[in-house]
Amino acid sequence: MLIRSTLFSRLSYMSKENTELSVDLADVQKQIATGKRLNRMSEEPWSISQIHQLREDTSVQSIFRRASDESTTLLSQTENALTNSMNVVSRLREMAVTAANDTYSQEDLDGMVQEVGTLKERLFALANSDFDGRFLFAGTAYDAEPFDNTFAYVGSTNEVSIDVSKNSQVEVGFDGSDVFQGSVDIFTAIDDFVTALGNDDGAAIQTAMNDFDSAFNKMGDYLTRIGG
Amino acid sequence: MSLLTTLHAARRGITVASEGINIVGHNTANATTDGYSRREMSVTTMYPLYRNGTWLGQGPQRASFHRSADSFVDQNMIGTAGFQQQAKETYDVLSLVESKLADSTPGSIIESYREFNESLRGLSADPGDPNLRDQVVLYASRFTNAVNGVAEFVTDIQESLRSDMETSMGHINDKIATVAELNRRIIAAGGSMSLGDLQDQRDLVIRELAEISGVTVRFSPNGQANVFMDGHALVQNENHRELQYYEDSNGDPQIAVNADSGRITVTDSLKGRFGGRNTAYNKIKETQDSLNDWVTQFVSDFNTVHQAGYDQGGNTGLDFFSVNTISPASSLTVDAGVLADSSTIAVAGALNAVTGFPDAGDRDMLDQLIALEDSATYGATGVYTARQELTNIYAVIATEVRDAQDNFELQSMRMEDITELRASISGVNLDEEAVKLMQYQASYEAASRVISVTNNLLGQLMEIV
Repeated sequence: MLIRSTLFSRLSYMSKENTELSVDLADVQKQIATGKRLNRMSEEPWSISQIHQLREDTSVQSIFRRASDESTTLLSQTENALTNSMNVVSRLREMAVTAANDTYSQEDLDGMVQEVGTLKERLFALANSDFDGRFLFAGTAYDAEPFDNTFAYVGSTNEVSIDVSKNSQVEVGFDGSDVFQGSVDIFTAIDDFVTALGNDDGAAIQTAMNDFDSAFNKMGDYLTRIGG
Repeated sequence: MSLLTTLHAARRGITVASEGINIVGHNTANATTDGYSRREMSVTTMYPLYRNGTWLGQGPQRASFHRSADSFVDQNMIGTAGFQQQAKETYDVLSLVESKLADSTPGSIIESYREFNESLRGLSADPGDPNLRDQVVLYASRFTNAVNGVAEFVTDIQESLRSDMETSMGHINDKIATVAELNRRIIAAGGSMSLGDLQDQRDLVIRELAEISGVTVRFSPNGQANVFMDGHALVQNENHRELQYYEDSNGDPQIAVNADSGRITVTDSLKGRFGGRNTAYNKIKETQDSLNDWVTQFVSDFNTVHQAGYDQGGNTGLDFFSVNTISPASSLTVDAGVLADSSTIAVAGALNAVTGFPDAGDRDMLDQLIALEDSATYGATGVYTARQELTNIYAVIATEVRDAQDNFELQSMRMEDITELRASISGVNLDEEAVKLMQYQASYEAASRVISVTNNLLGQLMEIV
């Protein structure tokens, strides 16, 4: 209880009220200007841990979103390459079926050899296909062509994966030796097919047909993996 | 001769009234003066004169000048001023550190650490990509710069706190000497009007002392004040002892009272700005230590994994960060080798037996480097991840700033209450002074009237004679 009020105390009271109001106003203006409720950690020290956690989670999500985009691109390129390869193999199989038919002359078969040669080159190019310098069927050694000109695999047998969340990864680069040479070496099979055509060897043509089936199925497996 | 006695009595009335008007003038003029204590005058009657069998009144006389002050309130005010300034100074200094830590700002430790980890995750998409590798180096440098920046700032601020304390010593000792000198003059002034003025002046100096370093004060009945720090006398009547600055074996600032028997260290019980600086200094030191521990742990963890990996040239056993053990936080840098050539970032787990170099897509060690983000090896018991421990460092400072702010508000409220209480006791109420002014004016006019009437009577008496 105050017994006496004085000019001095009244003045200091008024100035204090003014100061407090202007400080409050400045705080609100800062919130408006920055669009943030908290501008200093000390405004809510108890929230810092939560804020840091959220900020980290958000930033990790943006990384993973970028990674997903990149995986999608790489996978669609791989899908194209695989589909084209399967078309090639399926064409080879058709030719084998045709050749197995006895009605074709040796001349016709020699004509087929020409096309098979082209198809082999096409398949070789597909096996060595890249996206932006990144070879799709080279495993982790994706900075160089996975198949050399003797059709030997020089890539890595380790698959490449990209993190798309903290706990899950997507395989985006496959082991070419498994894709093209896993069940049966498709390049050897083509060579054998050419030899069989040259000799009009019905049994060997039948073997080639089975090999093409098997290779086709192998590629189909990978296509399913990508689709999944 | 009673007419002459009456004349004298009236003259005394005029004197007392004019002294009263003077006091009203003094009070009114000082109504808004900081630390002013209202003056009052007590008036009594003169002892009556016995003449020719009658008692004759001799009029009024001033008994004393009175300074309206309550020593208990004044002592409390001085104590609270010390607490208030301590909280304010702690807040001011620590909020500088808080700004420097700059939560949520790009370039702060926590953000650049996060960005560095992001760049590692980015690299995992294509560990052979030189652009992504350069990005890792870029973000690593930004991160080390952020750590260095805070470490240097913290060192600078400690240095400036030390030098401020050291250079303020002369100023403080002058004030202590002033209090002792004013104590001496208060005794010399006796009961005169200047006594109160000297006391007001002295109390202001003591309050400044309290705001600088926090003191307690006891007022003696004779008007002198004794000033103490942590129970040790700084001013005893007209004698005083000086404060001294020194640095202890750790290089930490210390304040001591110079006594005959040697110096008495009072650092930990300092209040006021010095106390605030001392508190802030110690908190900053804790932050510095935590940051150094963090950096040491981080570099050790990161380099251990990195050393096990292979760079693109097939080399192994390489460091990613380099640091010295004396001041880890301020010396943290990206290793010169990595800085010069990002292909020496060792993220591969093995060499390709054929090529002798790691495969471009080999990210086995990178996965482990990224996993470090979630490994809880920090804190005394190893329960925090690197990011959580950084958050702790941030949170400690933020909490201290918050505490200081809350404490300042609390002390300010107390100070306000005490100031109002003091104003109620010692302040000047202008209405009250106006009433007194009328009272003294009336008294003066009445006494003048008595003089003129008495003068007339004396004149008539002279004519008769």
